[in-house]
Amino acid sequence: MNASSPIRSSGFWAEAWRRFRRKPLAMAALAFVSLLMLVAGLAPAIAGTKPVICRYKGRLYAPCLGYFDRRLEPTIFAKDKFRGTYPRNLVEKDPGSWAVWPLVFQDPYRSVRDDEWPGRPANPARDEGRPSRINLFGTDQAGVDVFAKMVHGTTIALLVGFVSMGIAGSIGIVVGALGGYLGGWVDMLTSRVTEIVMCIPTLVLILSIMALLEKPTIWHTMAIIGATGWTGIARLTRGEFLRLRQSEFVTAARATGAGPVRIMLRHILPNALAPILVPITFGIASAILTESSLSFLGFGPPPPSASWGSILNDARSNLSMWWLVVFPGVAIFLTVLAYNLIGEGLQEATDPRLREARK
Amino acid sequence: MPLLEINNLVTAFHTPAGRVPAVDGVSLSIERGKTLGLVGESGCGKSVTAMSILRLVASPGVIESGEILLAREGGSVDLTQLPEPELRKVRGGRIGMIFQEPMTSLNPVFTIGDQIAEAVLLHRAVPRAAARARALEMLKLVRLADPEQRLDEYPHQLSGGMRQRVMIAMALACEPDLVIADEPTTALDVTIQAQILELLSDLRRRLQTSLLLITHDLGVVAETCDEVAVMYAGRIVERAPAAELFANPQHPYTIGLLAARPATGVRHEGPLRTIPGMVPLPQNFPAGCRFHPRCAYARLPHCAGDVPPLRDIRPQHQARCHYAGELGPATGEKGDAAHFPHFSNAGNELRPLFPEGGS
Amino acid sequence: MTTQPLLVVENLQTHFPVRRGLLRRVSGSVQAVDGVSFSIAKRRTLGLVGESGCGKTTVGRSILRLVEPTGGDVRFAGASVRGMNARDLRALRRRMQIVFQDPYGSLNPRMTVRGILEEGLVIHRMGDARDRLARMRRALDRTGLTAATLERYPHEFSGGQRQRIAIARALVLEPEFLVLDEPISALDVSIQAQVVNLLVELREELGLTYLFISHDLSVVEYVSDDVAVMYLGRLVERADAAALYRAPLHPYTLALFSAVPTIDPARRRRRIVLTGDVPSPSRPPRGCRFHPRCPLAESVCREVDPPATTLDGHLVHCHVAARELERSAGDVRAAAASIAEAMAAASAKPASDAAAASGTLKA
Repeated sequence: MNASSPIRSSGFWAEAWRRFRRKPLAMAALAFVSLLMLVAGLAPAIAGTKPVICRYKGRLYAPCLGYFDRRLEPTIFAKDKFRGTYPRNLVEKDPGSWAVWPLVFQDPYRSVRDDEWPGRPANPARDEGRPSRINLFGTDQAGVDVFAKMVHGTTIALLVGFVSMGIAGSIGIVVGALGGYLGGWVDMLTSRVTEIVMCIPTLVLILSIMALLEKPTIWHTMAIIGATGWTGIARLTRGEFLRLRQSEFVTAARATGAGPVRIMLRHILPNALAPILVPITFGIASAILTESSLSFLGFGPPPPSASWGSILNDARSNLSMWWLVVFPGVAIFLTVLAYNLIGEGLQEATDPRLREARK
Repeated sequence: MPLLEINNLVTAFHTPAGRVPAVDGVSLSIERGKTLGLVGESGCGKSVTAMSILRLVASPGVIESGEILLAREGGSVDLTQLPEPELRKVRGGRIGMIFQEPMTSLNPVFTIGDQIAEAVLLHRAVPRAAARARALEMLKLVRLADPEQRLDEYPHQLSGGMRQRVMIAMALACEPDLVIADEPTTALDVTIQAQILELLSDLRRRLQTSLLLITHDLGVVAETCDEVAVMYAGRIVERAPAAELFANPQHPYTIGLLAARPATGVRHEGPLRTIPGMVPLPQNFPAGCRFHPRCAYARLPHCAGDVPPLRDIRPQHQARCHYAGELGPATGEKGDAAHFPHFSNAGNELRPLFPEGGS
Repeated sequence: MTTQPLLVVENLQTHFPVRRGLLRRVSGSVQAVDGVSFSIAKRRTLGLVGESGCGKTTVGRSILRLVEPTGGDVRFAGASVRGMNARDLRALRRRMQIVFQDPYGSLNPRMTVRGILEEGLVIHRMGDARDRLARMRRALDRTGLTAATLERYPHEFSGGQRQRIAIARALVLEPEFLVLDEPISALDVSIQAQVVNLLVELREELGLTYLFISHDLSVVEYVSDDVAVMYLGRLVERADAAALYRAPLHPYTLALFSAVPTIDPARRRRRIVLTGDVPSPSRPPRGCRFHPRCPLAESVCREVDPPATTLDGHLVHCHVAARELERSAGDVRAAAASIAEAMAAASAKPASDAAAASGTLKA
C-alpha cells in the first residue's frame, strides 16, 4: 500500500488490450487473422510442388522460395533442365538427393501432371474436379488445385488490406491533422479536397485506370484503393484534432513552450489514435471486399498470381462447379467478418463511453 | 411523523471489480415543510442516496436493503417496494427533482412551456390549455422575466440561472410534498446562486414544501437548511439542526471541514488547517471508522477496528465517532505533506467511480 | 510599493472575432477583456476575482500569449510580451508558467508523469538526462509527491494529487511567475486547503510571484496581497486585500461579497441580491457595464464609462463611489459604509411579487 507497490502501472494501450482480451469474439477474430498471416508466410510449405528444403549434388537448397519471387529459386535447377518438376528430376539427376516436401503437393499456378508425384494421376479439370482427398477444395477449369490457389492467395488478401489502408491511413491522418490543427485556409483547402475525393467512385476509377495501364498489377489496385479511401479517416482525424486542440493539456503544452509539431505528434496524435484505428480496421475489411469484387469482375491481378476473388471469377463460366464459389466465398466472408469484429472490439476497448453503456 | 424517512439504506454498485457500497446504511428523516441539507464530498454517496429515493440509480447500482418511507394519508408507503407504475406517480408528482446541470436536464428540442406542461399532464388529468396556463403560472412563480415570451422559447435561449428557474418551475408544477435538489447552484455564479437560493427558500416557505438539498458547500447549507446531515464515505457521520451543527461540530471530519475554509474579513496567520490524505473511493473504504486514516484524533487500534455507531452527543445532535464529546485537542499532529498517502489507493481501479462534482 | 513590478499589464484588450455566414465574415467581437491594467511586484500575489465570463481566465491566458491580445501590452521584467518573436516567447514561457483549473483535463492521459514533467526540460534544453531526473525529483518532492510517481499515468491519481502534478510541471522549469487559474475549484473541500497551503509555502520558499485567479472570495483573500475585481471584461475595483474586504466601494464588489454563503452567522452580511443576468460580452452595455444590474445606477452611469478613481492605492471605476469619496473627504471606510447602506436600502424594496400560484390546480 505504498510507493513500493508491486502493481505495474499500465498505460492506455495496455488497459485497452486487457479489455479487448475479455471479448471472445474479437479474440477469435484476431486469432483468425493471425492464422491467415501464418498461412501467408508459410504458403510454399503448405501447398506447392517445389521442395521446402532439398539436398542436391552435395548442397542444400530451398526451391520453395521461388513462390515468393522467381529470382529466389536456385538457378542450378533451371540449368539442369528441371522445368519445374522436382520429384522425378531430383531422383534421376542425383540419386543421393533428398527433399522435404510441402504438406500438400499441389501447385497454385498449374495443373499437376500425370505421375508427377509417383503413382498419382493428373488433376482432373472442368466440372470433374470436385473436392477429393487429393484436391481438398477441388480444381478449377484448367485443373489447377483450388486449395493451393487459396493458400497462395492469402498473401494478396492480407496485402490488399494492409497496403491500401496503410496508404489511406497515412494520407488521411496527415490531411486531417493539418486541417484540424491549423484551421483557417488550410482547413478550408483540406476539407474541400476531402469532399472532392469523396465524390470519386473508387470502383469506376480503378476500372478505368486498369484499362489505361499496359501491365496492371495488384499493386496498382492497392494504390488506388488507398488513394481514394482516406476521406473518412481524414474527416475523423480532423474532428479529433479540432476537439483535442481545445483541450487543456494542449494549452498546458503550449504554455511549456512546445511547438506545433511537438504538440501534434506527442500530445494530440496519441490521444486521437484509438478512434482513428477503428475505421482503419473497418477499411481493411472493405478493401478486401473491393479487391474481391474487382477480381470477380475479371479485373483482378493478372495470372499467374491468384486472388480469392479471381477464383470466384472462374466459377462464372460454369456454375455447377460449386466449390469454386463456396471455398473462396467463405474465406472472403470470414476474413471480412474477422476485421469487422476486431474493429468493433477495438472500438469498445478504447472508447470509454461504449464501455460504460455495456456495464 | 416525518414526511420522508430513510432507514438503513444500502445501495451498492456491482462492477467487474467487485461490489462497491456507495451508500452503506444511511438513515435520514425530513419533516414536513423543512429543509434538510445533505453535505459531503465527491464519492461520499450523497447523490446516490438522493437517486435511491426515487429509485433512479443507474445500473449496475442496486438498492440492496433498507426502507424509504413516504408518508401518506393513514400511514406510509415504502418506495423501495412500490411497483414501478405507482412509483412513476411519485416521481414528479409527490416528489420533484432538480439537478445540478440545468443545460443537460432540459430537453433541447422542446419549448420551456411544453416541458412544464408535459410535467403537469403526466400527473394531472387536465386539458392541455390548463396545463399551459399552469406552466405560465409557474414561470411567474419562479420570477422569470417576461414569462409569456419565455413560454415559447427553447432552453438554449436562456442563461444558466434562467434554466435553473425553469427546472424549479418544473419540479414544483405538480405541488410536490418534497423537492430533491442535487447541487442546484453548483454550476452557477455566486450572484446567480444567491438569487436561486433565495427563490428556493421563499417558495418552500410559501408552498410548505419539504426540501432535500444536496451540496458540498457548507455555506449554502448554513444559510438555507433547518437540519444538516454530513456524509462521509457512504455513511452519515453527523446529524443536527443547522445552527447547532455549525456552533458545536462534534465529528472530527465536520470539525476539519469547517476549519479548512478561510473565513472572509479575518486576516489569517500561518497555514490553513487541513484534513490530510485523500477522499477515499467507494471501492476501498477503510475498515472501522472510515475517517480514521485522516483523523487527527484517531486512537488505534480502536478506531480502525470498530465501526462507531451514530449516537446522541448533545440534544438532537448525533455523531458517528467513538470519542465525540470528549475530543479535546488533537492527539497526533498529522502534518499535511508528511502524511500525504501517495498510493493508498494503489491498483488499477483508481479512477474515481463517481467523478468529482458528479456525485 | 518601492520594488520594481515584475509584471505590468497595460490597457490589455483581448477581443475574439465572431464569424457568421458562409464566408465566415467577422460580424462582431466578444470583448472578453477590454482595457485591463494592473501590475504585480516581485514576490507579491494579485488575486483576480469575478464571475464566469468576466474575462479573468482570458487575462491569465493573454499574459502568457496562449490567446493573442488585440490591444494594450504586457511587460514582464521590462520586456514587452506582445512584441516578442517565437524564440523569445518560448524562453519567456520557461519563466512564466500556468496551472489550470481542471486537473483531469490539463494532464495528457497518454503520458506518464515523467513524460509530462520532462517535456518542458527537453524543450528548454535544461540539463542532461541525470540532471533532469534530479530536477523532476526535486519538483515532485516540493509538491509532496514521491519519485515513484514518475512512472505512473495521470488517471491513477486523485484530483488533489493531479493538481500537485500540474504544479510540479510548472515548478520544474523554475519559473519566477505563475498564473494560477482557478487551481482549487475542481477539488474537494477537504483537499482545497492542502493545495492552498502548498501554493503559499512554495511562494515563500521559492520567492514566486502569483496571479491567483478564482471565484472563491475567501481563498483569494487568504492567498493574495492585492485583489482586483472584474466584471464583463473590465476591472471594476482593485485594492490591498484587507482594505478591499473591509471596505468595498464598487456596488458590484459589494453584491459579490454579500452573495457568498457563509457559515458564521455573525459574519453574515446583509444579502444584496442582484437582479438579472450578466449581459453578453459581445454586446456590452453602454456607459458603466454594470449599470443594468446596479441598484444605485443613475443617468450618468448609463452614458459615461466611469474613469478610475484612486485613493490610497484603492482604485475603483464607479461614478457613485467617486462622488461618495469626494463627499467623505477621502475617508474610504465612510464612503464604503454609505454605499453599502444605499445598496441594502435599494435591494430591500419588495421584489415585484408574482401571483401566488399555489393551489390553483385541482387534481
